[in-house]
Formats: sequence, C-alpha cells, structure tokens
Amino acid sequence: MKIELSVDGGFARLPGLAKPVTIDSATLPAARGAALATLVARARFFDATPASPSNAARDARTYTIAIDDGARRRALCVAEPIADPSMRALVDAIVACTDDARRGTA
Amino acid sequence: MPDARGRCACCAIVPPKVLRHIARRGTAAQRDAALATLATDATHRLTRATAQSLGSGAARAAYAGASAAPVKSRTIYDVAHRTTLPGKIVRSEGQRATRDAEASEAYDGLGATFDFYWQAYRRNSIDDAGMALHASVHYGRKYDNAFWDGRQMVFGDGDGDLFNRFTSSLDVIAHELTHGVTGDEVNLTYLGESGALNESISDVFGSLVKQWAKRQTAAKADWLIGAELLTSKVQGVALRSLKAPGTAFDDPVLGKDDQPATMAGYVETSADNGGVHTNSGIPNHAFYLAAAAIGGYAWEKAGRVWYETVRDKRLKPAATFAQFADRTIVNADHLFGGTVKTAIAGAWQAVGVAISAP
Repeated sequence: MKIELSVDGGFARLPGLAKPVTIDSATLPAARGAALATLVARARFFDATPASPSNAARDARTYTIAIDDGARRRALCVAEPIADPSMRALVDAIVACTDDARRGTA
Repeated sequence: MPDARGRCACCAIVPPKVLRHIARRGTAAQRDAALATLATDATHRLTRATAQSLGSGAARAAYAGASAAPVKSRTIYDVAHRTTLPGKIVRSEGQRATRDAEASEAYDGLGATFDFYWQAYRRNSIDDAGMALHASVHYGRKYDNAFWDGRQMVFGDGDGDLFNRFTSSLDVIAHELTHGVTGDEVNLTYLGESGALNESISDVFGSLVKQWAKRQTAAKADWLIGAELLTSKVQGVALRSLKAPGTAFDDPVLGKDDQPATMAGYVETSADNGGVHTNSGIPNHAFYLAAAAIGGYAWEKAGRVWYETVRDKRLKPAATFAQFADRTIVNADHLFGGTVKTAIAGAWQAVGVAISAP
C-alpha cells in the first residue's frame, strides 16, 4: 500500500515542508504496516464521505492523502480540526510515518 | 440626575432604547449616567454598539470609564500528544503555575493578550463581552503548528529539531487569539485577499502585543513573528517579518520566505487558501511603514486605526486590500486627523495598493 501525503496551510506554512511525501507500507516494519492497514480500514478511507472543512478554523492544516492499495486508489482532503476519531487516528499515523520518512528515521 | 453611584435614578427602569437616546442627545452628565446604566446591562453588545454609534473618542472614553475592569477567565488543557480536543484541564484562572512550560506560557500569553486588548482598546476579550479563553497545549506528536479552531487556541510542541514549542512566542499566542477577535467582528473570508487580510491582522496585533508587553516603540521593535519558534539549526530569524517580508528565513529544509512586500510580488496560487500566509506580507508591510512613519508606540495610533477598521461595519467579509486600505484612511482621519491619515495613505501607496479614499 502506497500513501502520499501533502500538508497545506498552517501558521508555520513553509514552502520546503509543503512538498508531498510518499511512504510504502511494504517498506515499514511489519507491525507498523499492519497497523496502518487497520487504520485505513477503520477510517473507511475508500468509502468515507469527505467532511466539509470548518469555516471558523484559522491556521489549521489541510492534509491531502492519496492511498493506493493495489486494487483501489483514492485521494482525500482532510482539514483540521478532524471530527471523526477514526480519520484523525489515520491522519496522525500517516503524519508520523511521513515525518520519520522525511527525517530518514523510518 | 446621577445618584451617589453615578447612576441616573430615572434610568433604572428606563428601556435601553430610551437610554440610547439619552446617551446620544442628553447633556454630558446625562450621557455618562445613561452609558453607566447600559454598562450594567447584561446585554453588553448593546452597550458597545451604543458607544460605537456615538462616534467621538470622548463619548467612547465615557463608556469605557463607565465599565468595570473585566475579569479574565483562562483555562489551559493538556491534549497529552493526542488530537482529541480540548484535553484535560491543567490550569484554570487564578490557579498556581505547574511545572509545564507550555501550559504556563499559554496561560501568561493569553493573559498578556487579554490585558493588551483591554488596556489599549477597551476590548473585553475575544467577543468584547468577556468570553472565556481556552487553549490546549501538547497537541499531537511533534506538531509544528498552532491554530484557532473557531472556539479555542491549539498549540503544538514543535518537532524539537526545526521548531521549538509554539507557545514560546507571545506574538504567536496573540496571533491566534486575534483570529477570534477578527472572527467576532468582520469575519474576513479565509480566501485570497480577504484571507490574507485576516492573516495580516493577526500578525499585526500579534506583533503589537509583544511590543506592548516590552514597551517598545515602532523604531525599537523587531517586527518579527515567531522569532522564538525556530531552533538554532534553522537558517533564519523568524517565520515572518513585517518590516522586511521575504527575508525571515532561507533554509535548505524549510525553503525560502516567499512573502511579498508589495503588490508587484502578489502570489496567485490555489495553495493555502489562495496564499493567505504569503500575500499577508503586503498589508503587514503597509502597517509597518505606517507605524514607522507615525513613530512612538505603534499600538496607539496605527494599531488603533487598524483595530477600528476591523470593527468598522462598512468593512465587508470579502474585503480586498484596497477596500481595507480605504477604511483605514477614513478611520485615521476620523480618529487622529491629517498627519496620521497621510502616513497611512503613504504606506498603502508604497506597497502598491491603490486607494480611492479622499
């Protein structure tokens, strides 16, 4: 499963950190890859209806997540604050993985 | 006649509509008494609207003097590195500081911002009606951001590599709280020019709160946003500069500060709601130029004009830079007259914003 993440907006919006980062769950430690697959399923990523962004939030980030699991591919925009706990858990996990990938500590 | 407490005896049962009439048409003593009575009314917004409608600084001062100093109500929550808001309460108003630096900085920063708005502009909290202030710290894991979610402030700890904790800069805390103020007043649409104005207003008052806390003149201030956020690994001095947009950082990882200082550099983009954090450099720089030209404490004149413009009912949520600029010029003329008006008009012209106000 390949996951691409782009982060846009935020108080500290910085050009260098806005570049998309891709991770491949096959290259992650097995337990982390499996946990990611579970979170994708729990968030119903391929079927979820995109939530409308809050009109009142300011400096909040927008996460554009594209996932390709071999059979399906979907890109979804998720804006903070994320109301759905399952989607929030998925975004947190993807952000953690991509942060590690960006720092070369995955 | 006012009684010993300064209230007009006849006002106690007088409907607000009549009180407002007295406030507009009565003698100075009657006006003060009517405003004092309105000030005790639970409908604080009504009082504020009346004072605003009076227009003159003297009348507003009478209203401000009639209202008691407001009481802060701060609550700090710990999200414990999760993202479910607001988290567990770690400090409420009046409680002792804990050993948690982020919680202490958030508590103190909210207090300084609240005090600034009251002492500089007689604004009672975010909504000018004593709204309680809520902030969550330790949001997420290595979270390099702070935001206003429409009801409260949220602060990340930073990754510790490029960014320190986001509570470490007072101007960042004031920036987020000011989003609440703008939302309560004109609620500038968070897209394109109006979105960049929204961001700029938060940067302007973020910087002014820091200057006010340090008692710095426009000439002494650094005009930087987030100077304390960047670690020593980053090649840069801050996230943004009102004095010199586009020069705050130039780093191999973070990239280069891409804020324009003038309309010639306006960035057309679909990213970041149409570049709200990029094009804000233009009105930011206009404010700096105006404040530098006026001199002295920037919150007293330039800041006051910007504040009254945010509250100006003629300013619309979809305002362009030029429409905002026009209102600052009208308000400058009304509040301070020719010299300040000329300085502000010159500042907008210098950043390439065409003004049409006479």
